Amino acid sequence: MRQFVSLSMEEIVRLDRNNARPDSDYAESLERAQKVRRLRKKRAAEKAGATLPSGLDALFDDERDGLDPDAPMSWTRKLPDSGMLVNGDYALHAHFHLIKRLTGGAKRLCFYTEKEPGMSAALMAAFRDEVLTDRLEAFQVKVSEELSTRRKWSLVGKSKAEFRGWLKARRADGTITTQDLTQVRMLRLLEALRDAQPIEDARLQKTGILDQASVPQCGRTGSDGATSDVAKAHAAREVLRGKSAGAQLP
Amino acid sequence: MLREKFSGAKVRERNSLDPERLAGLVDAATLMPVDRYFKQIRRDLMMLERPVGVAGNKMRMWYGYSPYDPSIIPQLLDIHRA
Repeated sequence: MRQFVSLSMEEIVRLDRNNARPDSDYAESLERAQKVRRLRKKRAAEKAGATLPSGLDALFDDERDGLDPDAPMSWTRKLPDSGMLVNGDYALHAHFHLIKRLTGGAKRLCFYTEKEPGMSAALMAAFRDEVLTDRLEAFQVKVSEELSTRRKWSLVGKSKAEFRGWLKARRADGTITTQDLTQVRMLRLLEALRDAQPIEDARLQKTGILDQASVPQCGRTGSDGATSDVAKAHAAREVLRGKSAGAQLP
Repeated sequence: MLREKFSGAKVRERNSLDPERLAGLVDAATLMPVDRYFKQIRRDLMMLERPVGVAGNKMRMWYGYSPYDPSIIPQLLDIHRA
Protein backbone atom coordinates (compact mmCIF):
# COMPACT_ATOMS: atom_id res chain seq x y z
CA MET A 1 0.00 0.00 0.00
CA ARG A 2 1.32 3.38 -0.92
CA GLN A 3 2.05 5.95 1.65
CA PHE A 4 1.79 9.63 0.91
CA VAL A 5 4.07 11.86 2.91
CA SER A 6 4.65 15.55 2.60
CA LEU A 7 8.22 16.48 1.73
CA SER A 8 9.94 19.80 1.33
CA MET A 9 11.71 20.60 -1.95
CA GLU A 10 15.18 20.24 -0.37
CA GLU A 11 14.29 16.79 0.86
CA ILE A 12 13.05 15.77 -2.56
CA VAL A 13 16.31 16.95 -4.14
CA ARG A 14 18.36 15.14 -1.50
CA LEU A 15 16.44 11.90 -1.93
CA ASP A 16 16.64 12.22 -5.65
CA ARG A 17 20.41 12.59 -5.48
CA ASN A 18 20.79 9.67 -3.11
CA ASN A 19 18.64 7.39 -5.24
CA ALA A 20 20.29 8.27 -8.54
CA ARG A 21 22.21 5.33 -9.94
CA PRO A 22 25.91 6.09 -9.63
CA ASP A 23 27.72 6.60 -12.96
CA SER A 24 24.42 7.26 -14.69
CA ASP A 25 23.84 10.27 -16.90
CA TYR A 26 21.26 11.44 -14.45
CA ALA A 27 23.70 11.42 -11.53
CA GLU A 28 26.20 13.25 -13.70
CA SER A 29 23.74 15.95 -14.65
CA LEU A 30 22.75 16.37 -11.00
CA GLU A 31 26.39 16.75 -10.09
CA ARG A 32 26.89 19.29 -12.86
CA ALA A 33 23.86 21.28 -11.79
CA GLN A 34 25.20 21.38 -8.27
CA LYS A 35 28.55 22.62 -9.49
CA VAL A 36 26.86 25.39 -11.45
CA ARG A 37 24.87 26.34 -8.37
CA ARG A 38 28.02 26.49 -6.27
CA LEU A 39 29.78 28.58 -8.90
CA ARG A 40 26.90 31.02 -9.10
CA LYS A 41 26.86 31.37 -5.34
CA LYS A 42 30.59 32.03 -5.33
CA ARG A 43 30.36 34.62 -8.10
CA ALA A 44 27.47 36.35 -6.39
CA ALA A 45 29.55 36.55 -3.21
CA GLU A 46 32.50 37.95 -5.15
CA LYS A 47 30.29 40.47 -6.85
CA ALA A 48 28.83 41.59 -3.58
CA GLY A 49 32.29 42.08 -2.12
CA ALA A 50 33.77 43.72 -5.19
CA THR A 51 34.68 47.37 -4.99
CA LEU A 52 34.36 48.69 -8.51
CA PRO A 53 34.28 52.44 -8.90
CA SER A 54 30.76 53.71 -8.84
CA GLY A 55 29.04 53.70 -12.19
CA LEU A 56 31.55 51.31 -13.75
CA ASP A 57 29.54 48.25 -12.99
CA ALA A 58 26.46 49.80 -14.53
CA LEU A 59 28.55 50.68 -17.57
CA PHE A 60 29.62 47.08 -17.97
CA ASP A 61 26.04 45.98 -17.54
CA ASP A 62 25.14 48.18 -20.49
CA GLU A 63 28.03 46.78 -22.48
CA ARG A 64 26.95 43.25 -21.82
CA ASP A 65 23.62 44.13 -23.27
CA GLY A 66 21.50 41.94 -21.10
CA LEU A 67 23.84 38.94 -21.15
CA ASP A 68 23.90 37.26 -17.78
CA PRO A 69 27.41 36.06 -17.02
CA ASP A 70 26.10 33.88 -14.22
CA ALA A 71 23.68 32.02 -16.44
CA PRO A 72 24.38 28.30 -16.53
CA MET A 73 25.96 26.85 -19.64
CA SER A 74 23.37 25.51 -21.98
CA TRP A 75 23.55 24.06 -25.45
CA THR A 76 23.01 27.49 -26.91
CA ARG A 77 25.93 29.03 -25.01
CA LYS A 78 28.56 26.33 -24.75
CA LEU A 79 31.47 25.74 -27.09
CA PRO A 80 31.21 22.77 -29.44
CA ASP A 81 32.44 19.43 -28.14
CA SER A 82 34.68 18.77 -31.10
CA GLY A 83 35.89 21.01 -33.86
CA MET A 84 35.10 24.64 -34.48
CA LEU A 85 35.90 27.43 -36.84
CA VAL A 86 38.89 29.43 -35.70
CA ASN A 87 40.16 32.75 -36.95
CA GLY A 88 42.89 32.15 -39.53
CA ASP A 89 45.51 34.09 -37.58
CA TYR A 90 45.13 31.83 -34.58
CA ALA A 91 45.49 28.81 -36.82
CA LEU A 92 48.65 30.35 -38.27
CA HIS A 93 50.17 30.93 -34.85
CA ALA A 94 49.22 27.44 -33.71
CA HIS A 95 50.74 26.02 -36.87
CA PHE A 96 54.12 27.63 -36.28
CA HIS A 97 54.10 26.59 -32.64
CA LEU A 98 53.39 23.04 -33.76
CA ILE A 99 56.30 23.21 -36.20
CA LYS A 100 58.46 24.46 -33.39
CA ARG A 101 57.49 21.50 -31.26
CA LEU A 102 58.05 19.03 -34.08
CA THR A 103 61.45 20.47 -34.97
CA GLY A 104 62.59 20.82 -31.38
CA GLY A 105 65.99 19.24 -31.85
CA ALA A 106 66.91 21.00 -35.08
CA LYS A 107 70.17 22.91 -34.98
CA ARG A 108 69.24 25.18 -37.81
CA LEU A 109 66.00 25.99 -39.59
CA CYS A 110 65.17 27.51 -42.93
CA PHE A 111 61.67 28.67 -43.85
CA TYR A 112 60.28 29.62 -47.21
CA THR A 113 56.91 31.16 -46.60
CA GLU A 114 54.35 32.89 -48.68
CA LYS A 115 54.24 36.63 -48.36
CA GLU A 116 51.06 36.85 -46.41
CA PRO A 117 50.21 39.33 -43.69
CA GLY A 118 50.34 37.61 -40.35
CA MET A 119 52.60 34.79 -41.41
CA SER A 120 55.77 36.67 -40.72
CA ALA A 121 54.40 37.77 -37.35
CA ALA A 122 53.44 34.22 -36.45
CA LEU A 123 56.85 32.93 -37.44
CA MET A 124 58.68 35.57 -35.46
CA ALA A 125 56.46 34.99 -32.45
CA ALA A 126 57.06 31.26 -32.43
CA PHE A 127 60.75 31.29 -33.32
CA ARG A 128 61.93 34.48 -31.68
CA ASP A 129 64.74 32.78 -29.77
CA GLU A 130 65.96 30.95 -32.85
CA VAL A 131 66.15 34.18 -34.83
CA LEU A 132 67.95 36.03 -32.07
CA THR A 133 70.46 33.23 -31.63
CA ASP A 134 70.98 33.13 -35.39
CA ARG A 135 69.69 29.63 -35.95
CA LEU A 136 66.95 30.42 -38.41
CA GLU A 137 66.62 31.80 -41.89
CA ALA A 138 63.25 32.93 -43.13
CA PHE A 139 62.43 33.85 -46.70
CA GLN A 140 59.24 35.31 -48.03
CA VAL A 141 58.39 34.25 -51.53
CA LYS A 142 55.94 36.37 -53.44
CA VAL A 143 54.17 34.89 -56.42
CA SER A 144 52.14 37.06 -58.77
CA GLU A 145 49.46 34.61 -59.74
CA GLU A 146 46.87 36.98 -61.07
CA LEU A 147 48.87 38.53 -63.91
CA SER A 148 47.79 37.97 -67.48
CA THR A 149 49.95 35.84 -69.75
CA ARG A 150 51.02 38.85 -71.83
CA ARG A 151 52.03 40.73 -68.73
CA LYS A 152 54.01 37.74 -67.57
CA TRP A 153 55.83 37.54 -70.89
CA SER A 154 56.53 41.24 -70.71
CA LEU A 155 58.05 40.80 -67.26
CA VAL A 156 60.18 37.94 -68.50
CA GLY A 157 61.44 40.12 -71.34
CA LYS A 158 62.22 42.95 -68.97
CA SER A 159 64.02 40.60 -66.63
CA LYS A 160 66.10 39.13 -69.43
CA ALA A 161 67.04 42.58 -70.73
CA GLU A 162 67.98 43.68 -67.25
CA PHE A 163 70.11 40.61 -66.76
CA ARG A 164 71.86 41.03 -70.09
CA GLY A 165 72.54 44.70 -69.36
CA TRP A 166 73.93 43.85 -65.99
CA LEU A 167 76.20 41.14 -67.36
CA LYS A 168 77.40 43.35 -70.19
CA ALA A 169 78.33 46.10 -67.75
CA ARG A 170 80.16 43.67 -65.48
CA ARG A 171 82.04 42.17 -68.40
CA ALA A 172 82.93 45.63 -69.67
CA ASP A 173 84.49 46.71 -66.39
CA GLY A 174 86.20 43.36 -66.02
CA THR A 175 84.38 42.31 -62.84
CA ILE A 176 83.15 39.14 -64.48
CA THR A 177 85.35 37.18 -66.79
CA THR A 178 83.96 33.69 -66.39
CA GLN A 179 81.74 32.09 -69.00
CA ASP A 180 80.29 29.67 -66.48
CA LEU A 181 76.70 30.74 -66.00
CA THR A 182 76.38 29.01 -62.66
CA GLN A 183 79.08 31.29 -61.34
CA VAL A 184 77.52 34.30 -63.04
CA ARG A 185 74.22 33.54 -61.37
CA MET A 186 75.89 33.23 -57.99
CA LEU A 187 77.73 36.51 -58.49
CA ARG A 188 74.49 38.24 -59.33
CA LEU A 189 72.79 36.90 -56.22
CA LEU A 190 75.74 37.91 -54.08
CA GLU A 191 75.59 41.41 -55.50
CA ALA A 192 71.88 41.64 -54.78
CA LEU A 193 72.49 40.52 -51.22
CA ARG A 194 75.33 42.96 -50.75
CA ASP A 195 73.06 45.83 -51.72
CA ALA A 196 70.32 44.72 -49.34
CA GLN A 197 69.37 47.26 -46.72
CA PRO A 198 69.12 46.36 -43.05
CA ILE A 199 65.70 46.64 -41.51
CA GLU A 200 64.38 46.86 -38.01
CA ASP A 201 61.81 44.39 -36.88
CA ALA A 202 59.90 45.45 -33.83
CA ARG A 203 59.12 41.84 -33.01
CA LEU A 204 62.79 41.12 -32.53
CA GLN A 205 63.87 44.54 -31.27
CA LYS A 206 67.18 44.00 -32.89
CA THR A 207 68.79 45.57 -35.93
CA GLY A 208 71.09 44.09 -38.50
CA ILE A 209 68.57 42.12 -40.48
CA LEU A 210 68.76 42.17 -44.22
CA ASP A 211 65.72 42.75 -46.29
CA GLN A 212 64.81 43.43 -49.87
CA ALA A 213 67.44 41.29 -51.49
CA SER A 214 65.58 41.22 -54.71
CA VAL A 215 66.03 38.05 -56.64
CA PRO A 216 65.85 38.58 -60.37
CA GLN A 217 62.59 37.42 -61.77
CA CYS A 218 63.50 34.26 -63.46
CA GLY A 219 62.01 32.50 -66.39
CA ARG A 220 60.44 29.13 -66.86
CA THR A 221 58.44 28.50 -69.94
CA GLY A 222 57.31 24.93 -69.67
CA SER A 223 57.73 24.79 -73.43
CA ASP A 224 60.22 22.92 -75.55
CA GLY A 225 61.85 25.93 -77.10
CA ALA A 226 60.42 25.71 -80.60
CA THR A 227 60.43 29.44 -81.32
CA SER A 228 63.21 31.89 -80.76
CA ASP A 229 61.32 33.74 -78.03
CA VAL A 230 60.69 30.57 -76.17
CA ALA A 231 64.28 29.52 -76.69
CA LYS A 232 65.47 32.80 -75.22
CA ALA A 233 63.17 32.48 -72.25
CA HIS A 234 64.34 28.94 -71.81
CA ALA A 235 67.95 30.05 -71.88
CA ALA A 236 67.18 32.82 -69.40
CA ARG A 237 65.63 30.25 -67.12
CA GLU A 238 68.70 28.08 -67.49
CA VAL A 239 70.89 31.02 -66.67
CA LEU A 240 69.04 32.02 -63.59
CA ARG A 241 68.30 28.58 -62.27
CA GLY A 242 71.83 27.47 -63.01
CA LYS A 243 70.71 24.28 -64.64
CA SER A 244 73.11 24.50 -67.54
CA ALA A 245 76.55 25.63 -66.54
CA GLY A 246 78.46 27.12 -69.42
CA ALA A 247 75.46 27.75 -71.66
CA GLN A 248 75.62 30.78 -73.91
CA LEU A 249 73.42 33.75 -73.18
CA PRO A 250 70.68 34.51 -75.68
CA MET B 1 55.84 25.93 -63.61
CA LEU B 2 54.85 29.22 -65.12
CA ARG B 3 54.21 30.93 -61.86
CA GLU B 4 57.79 30.45 -60.73
CA LYS B 5 58.79 32.92 -63.34
CA PHE B 6 56.94 35.73 -61.65
CA SER B 7 58.08 35.13 -58.17
CA GLY B 8 60.50 37.27 -56.28
CA ALA B 9 61.97 36.45 -52.92
CA LYS B 10 62.73 38.79 -50.10
CA VAL B 11 65.27 37.96 -47.52
CA ARG B 12 64.62 38.71 -43.93
CA GLU B 13 67.81 37.52 -42.47
CA ARG B 14 70.44 38.27 -39.91
CA ASN B 15 73.55 39.16 -41.80
CA SER B 16 76.02 36.91 -40.01
CA LEU B 17 75.54 34.05 -42.45
CA ASP B 18 78.19 33.32 -45.05
CA PRO B 19 77.10 35.32 -48.15
CA GLU B 20 77.56 32.41 -50.51
CA ARG B 21 75.46 30.18 -48.33
CA LEU B 22 72.84 32.90 -48.09
CA ALA B 23 72.86 33.27 -51.87
CA GLY B 24 72.37 29.54 -52.18
CA LEU B 25 69.37 29.69 -49.87
CA VAL B 26 67.91 32.60 -51.82
CA ASP B 27 68.41 30.66 -55.00
CA ALA B 28 66.44 27.78 -53.55
CA ALA B 29 63.52 30.04 -52.60
CA THR B 30 60.38 28.55 -54.08
CA LEU B 31 56.91 27.49 -53.04
CA MET B 32 56.60 25.00 -55.85
CA PRO B 33 56.80 21.81 -53.73
CA VAL B 34 54.12 23.11 -51.36
CA ASP B 35 51.90 24.21 -54.23
CA ARG B 36 52.37 20.83 -55.84
CA TYR B 37 51.34 19.05 -52.67
CA PHE B 38 48.25 21.23 -52.31
CA LYS B 39 47.36 20.53 -55.91
CA GLN B 40 47.74 16.80 -55.31
CA ILE B 41 45.38 17.02 -52.35
CA ARG B 42 42.81 18.93 -54.39
CA ARG B 43 42.90 16.45 -57.28
CA ASP B 44 43.38 13.19 -55.41
CA LEU B 45 40.86 13.69 -52.63
CA MET B 46 37.38 14.10 -54.04
CA MET B 47 35.99 15.71 -50.92
CA LEU B 48 38.66 18.40 -50.99
CA GLU B 49 38.23 19.31 -54.65
CA ARG B 50 37.41 22.94 -55.28
CA PRO B 51 33.70 23.73 -55.44
CA VAL B 52 32.20 23.77 -58.91
CA GLY B 53 30.62 26.85 -60.48
CA VAL B 54 27.20 25.91 -61.83
CA ALA B 55 26.50 27.51 -65.21
CA GLY B 56 22.75 26.97 -64.93
CA ASN B 57 22.58 28.77 -61.62
CA LYS B 58 24.34 32.10 -62.17
CA MET B 59 27.69 30.39 -61.62
CA ARG B 60 26.92 29.86 -57.99
CA MET B 61 29.22 27.44 -56.23
CA TRP B 62 28.19 23.85 -55.76
CA TYR B 63 29.71 22.19 -52.74
CA GLY B 64 28.31 18.75 -53.42
CA TYR B 65 31.57 16.92 -52.81
CA SER B 66 32.31 18.58 -49.49
CA PRO B 67 31.89 16.26 -46.51
CA TYR B 68 29.07 16.85 -44.07
CA ASP B 69 31.33 16.07 -41.16
CA PRO B 70 34.50 18.20 -41.08
CA SER B 71 36.27 15.60 -38.93
CA ILE B 72 36.54 13.49 -42.08
CA ILE B 73 39.05 15.94 -43.54
CA PRO B 74 41.93 15.27 -41.13
CA GLN B 75 41.31 11.54 -41.52
CA LEU B 76 41.53 11.80 -45.30
CA LEU B 77 44.63 13.96 -45.10
CA ASP B 78 46.32 11.47 -42.78
CA ILE B 79 45.55 8.60 -45.14
CA HIS B 80 46.74 10.63 -48.12
CA ARG B 81 49.98 11.52 -46.37
CA ALA B 82 50.63 7.92 -45.40
